[in-house]
Amino acid sequence: MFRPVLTPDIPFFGDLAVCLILVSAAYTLALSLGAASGRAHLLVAARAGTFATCGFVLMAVAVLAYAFQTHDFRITYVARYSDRSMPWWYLVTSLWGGQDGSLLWWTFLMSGYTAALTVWMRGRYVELQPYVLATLMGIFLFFGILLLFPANPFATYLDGGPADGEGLNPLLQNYWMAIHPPSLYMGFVGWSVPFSIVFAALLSGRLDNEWVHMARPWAMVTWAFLSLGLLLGCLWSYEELGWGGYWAWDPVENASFMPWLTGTAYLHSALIQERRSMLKVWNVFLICLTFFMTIFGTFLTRSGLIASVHAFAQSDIGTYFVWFMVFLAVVITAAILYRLPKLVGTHRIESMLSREFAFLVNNWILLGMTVGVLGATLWPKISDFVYGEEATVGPPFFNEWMTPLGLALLFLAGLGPLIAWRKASGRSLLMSLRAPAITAVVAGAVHALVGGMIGRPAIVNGETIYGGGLGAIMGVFHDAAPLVSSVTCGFVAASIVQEFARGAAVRMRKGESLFTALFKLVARARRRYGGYVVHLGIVFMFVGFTGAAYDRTEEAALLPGGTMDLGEYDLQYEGPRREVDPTKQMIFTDMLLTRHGAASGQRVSPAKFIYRLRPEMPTTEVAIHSRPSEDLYVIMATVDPQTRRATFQVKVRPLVWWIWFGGMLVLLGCVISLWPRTVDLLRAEDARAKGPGKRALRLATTAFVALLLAFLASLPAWASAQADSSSLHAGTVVIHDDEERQLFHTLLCDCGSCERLALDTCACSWAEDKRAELRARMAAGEPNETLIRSYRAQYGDASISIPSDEGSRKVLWVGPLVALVLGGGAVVVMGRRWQRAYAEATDARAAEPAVAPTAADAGYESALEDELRRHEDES
Amino acid sequence: MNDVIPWFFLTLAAAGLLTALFFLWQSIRAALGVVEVGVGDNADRDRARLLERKAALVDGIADLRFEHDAGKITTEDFAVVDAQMRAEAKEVLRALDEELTPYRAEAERLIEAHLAGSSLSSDASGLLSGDGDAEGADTRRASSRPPARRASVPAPGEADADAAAPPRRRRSRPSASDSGSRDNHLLCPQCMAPNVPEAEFCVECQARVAPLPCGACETVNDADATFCKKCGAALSARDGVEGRPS
Ligand code: HEM
Ligand SMILES: [Zn+2]
Ligand SMILES: [Zn+2]
Repeated sequence: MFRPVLTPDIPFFGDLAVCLILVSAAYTLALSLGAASGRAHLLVAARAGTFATCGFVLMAVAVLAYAFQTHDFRITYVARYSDRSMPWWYLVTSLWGGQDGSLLWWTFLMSGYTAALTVWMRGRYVELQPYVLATLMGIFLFFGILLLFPANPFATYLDGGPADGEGLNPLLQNYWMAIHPPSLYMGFVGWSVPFSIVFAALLSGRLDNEWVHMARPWAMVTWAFLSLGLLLGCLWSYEELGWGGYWAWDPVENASFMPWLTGTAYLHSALIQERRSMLKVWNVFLICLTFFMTIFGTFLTRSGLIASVHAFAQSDIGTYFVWFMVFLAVVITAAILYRLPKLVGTHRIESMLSREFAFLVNNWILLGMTVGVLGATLWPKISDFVYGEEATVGPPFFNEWMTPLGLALLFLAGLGPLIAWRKASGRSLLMSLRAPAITAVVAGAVHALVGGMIGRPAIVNGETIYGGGLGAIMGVFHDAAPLVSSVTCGFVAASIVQEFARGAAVRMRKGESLFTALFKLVARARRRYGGYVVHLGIVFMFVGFTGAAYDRTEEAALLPGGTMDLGEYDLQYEGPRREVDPTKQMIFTDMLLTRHGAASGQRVSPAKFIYRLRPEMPTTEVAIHSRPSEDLYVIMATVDPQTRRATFQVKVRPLVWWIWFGGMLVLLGCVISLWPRTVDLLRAEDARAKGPGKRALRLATTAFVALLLAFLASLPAWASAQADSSSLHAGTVVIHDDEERQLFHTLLCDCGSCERLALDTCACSWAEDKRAELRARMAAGEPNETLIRSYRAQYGDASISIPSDEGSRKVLWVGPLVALVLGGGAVVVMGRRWQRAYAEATDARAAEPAVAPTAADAGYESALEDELRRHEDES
Repeated sequence: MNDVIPWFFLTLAAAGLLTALFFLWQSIRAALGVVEVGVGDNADRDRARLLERKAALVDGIADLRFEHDAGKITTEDFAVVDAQMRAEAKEVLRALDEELTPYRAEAERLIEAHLAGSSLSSDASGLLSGDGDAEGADTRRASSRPPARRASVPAPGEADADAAAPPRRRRSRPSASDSGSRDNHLLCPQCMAPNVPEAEFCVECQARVAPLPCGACETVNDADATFCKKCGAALSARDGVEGRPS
């Protein structure tokens, strides 16, 4: 056992480090403000101060990690989130397992970004630097204050602390907790860098395209991490929560989805600004909004404002966040208004049939989705406030609205790249559309003809959540959603493949082989083709989402030797098996898997884990047998040690595999798009100064990318691995038919202790009793609507997963819909106006007398040719 | 293992603290003006922005051509848009050129001062012919000089963009050749191409890569230096530009 040589007063050092962070951040803030007036020595001082601040953050994190490793239970946080039996790696993950620590962890990641940014900025963006540093230090100050007052991870017990800690919740003791929160945090925290850059541009008034270039790699890296974090969140949910789904539209999930949506919108609209110097206000706004959303998301998950299965315990930290958000909103609005004259540029577009306009539509849909998700996430609070009644907005509501928007977005992702910048002529666009359109029709036809035979019909009998005309329209759309999805996926995939093919063809005409042509094509326009790979990944993810329409579930209670049969699969139960390790008891139930009557020799072993410290909370370990066509998802509900009889629930989830595959393509696309060109990393001037430095940098980036690729490559292994962890709702739900599922899907458990899961997932005894009661009434012939109405009457509005849409409550969906329609109108009106502006400008130019080309002109012309040739050679 | 990990974190904490204190010390020194700093001047930055815009336009033109070749844009549309973008690009090239005007004035002034103050006044011609190197340095910064101008603009003007250049750029130069020799080959100061150690001129761009001994004090200077770093004498044409292959 490690025995410290001297017993340092660790809590004191921790507090000291936090105080030093504050002091150093304040000092650096002052310096950078001073440097803003152009005093170079102050900028140098501010840069050093930034590094110092980051150093203090490192110290604080390391001190806390040390306290965990040495079981310093004087510290409340350590005692609450660890115990003596935990292995060292869980002691490390405990760093972000609880609220206070996770805020410190947040600060730590931000210091990583900040240090990297400061190094990267050396010798360039000199005017922006002071403001960038000042903004970042402001954010540090906020987190420093949080760490010192409401969320101090170094707070101690007054009486010296317990002998052993409470231990980390078994739910958090799995490798997901080791990788999911850090990558999600990386995706959240990172937005403070683009934000500080844009805010610096606002403060300094340097609002040309400089900041867009500067922010791009940082926005892209952060976006990639956010995507990775979301993907891992889905995997975690799928593997650990044991309900068979990957996304539940939970407030915490939504909180990370919203910055992703606005961030995606930014990545695209930034392209317009780079090309056309337009949309400056909009881009500034999007970055600020994305950053704001990350803070808002953190607030949502920390304040306990909205109940969620993932949320941290409620605390008074919310007040601090509210004030910070108010401050941010005021400051951002003021800065934008102040700079408005500099921001509004001349907006002109040649044609509404142009890439520019496609990007506008893309932004419109993404923002529409954000508004919808935001409104629905906040609805419970709004409803409470306005109507004095709690309400719940469950997955059916989200699915209803997000599916059509998602598919529209996907379609546009296929169409957009086919449209040329500035002006697409109808003829060449039609040419480009031919192959994708044919593919789409073929994909749809094949699906319609063959799908039904293999249990994947193109038209399904989906759910209708609302009555009335709109409800009926949406119901029809949802019935046809699988067909629409396969048509769209076919279209988009074909258009992307065509983009690669046409690009390669151009190069092959110059005599390159297919492989070289493809390679060089991607290498010389990494950004574009990386983006296309991202799009392709999204297509595959949609294929996976579509599979959800064909989910099947079976239940069985078996004695050893018994078999259950699900179409092509046979599962033979062999018997229970018990294993023990220092922290828990594990009971596996082995089942032999047979497919098409041929024994595969494969076993699936769903299990229950009983943790030593929390025996009352056994966890359910699902076993997943994953194949591209479908996943077999096996849950063991109960096992009787005497009779060895076990009850199982088996889900067949088609195409889920493609979600993970698509997700990896998305990340691969990000890597391609970001793959640094040394020329971009170091300006020519710096490159001149640092020969070996350049090589080291190239080496480092290669190593980094290799690591990232290795990481990506290992993802599928995780996806099919069996996890060492647990489920929030131990137990199993038995659903007999679709009608039942529809009903239980809509009703929420009211046991008071389970965060209102739907009756089709909640396994607590209250829910079990309720299901039995409802089944009896269904059997007696009561229709679903009556049952829902009486359920609502009995347990209140909040017990229904689809919020009431009576009277003014319609605003929940009418609001976003109106916003969407108005936004669409605005996009079209703006497009028209810009087009007119262009036409007028062109006329004016035509009226001017032509200037005869001068000799100097010819010189510049040939210089330009030189440049173009060099550009060509470089690639 | 169990012993190593706590020590690791303790060391990390100490490292964090020491790093922080070190930078804090640096920061305070810089803030008090104890250390000298150079962060480039305004004209230099405007130039950087122009260069960035030029790069974006060149990128755009090349991309447009590519999209045309790939059949996404009709030839008529291509012609219109291409002409527009070229006009813009030429505008930027012109602006880049005009950028140099203040440098020229400054250079002229420096030459005057130098000629008046230096005992080596006979070396005026050396300074002028230093142009070759300066030209190199200049293209490296601008990389946009129309070749036609080489002949049309008087040499002295060119010469000293570099002389008037901010200290940072001058300082960075020794390290270029230092690092070159460390790797056992010479990196061209202009195009970064590696050259054999005994090379005199770059294989890629023909700029001078061999070090330049000072005619007055024999101190060895960087290949692209215009003045001797020790005695300040203008570097002689003898080993410099005249022998340069055309
Ligand atoms: C879920 C939806 C989408 C995601 C996740 C997504 C993601 C991305 C990403 C990450 C990039 C690379 C950007 C960069 O490197 O800076 C990109 C590029 C691109 N996206 Fe999307 N996108 C989506 C939808 C769309 C839509 C609807 C359009 C249609 C207008 C579109 C058009 C494009 C184009 C044309 C590019 C290439 C830009 C270039 O030429 O460099 N995307 N996309
Ligand atoms: Zn319950
Ligand atoms: Zn429950």
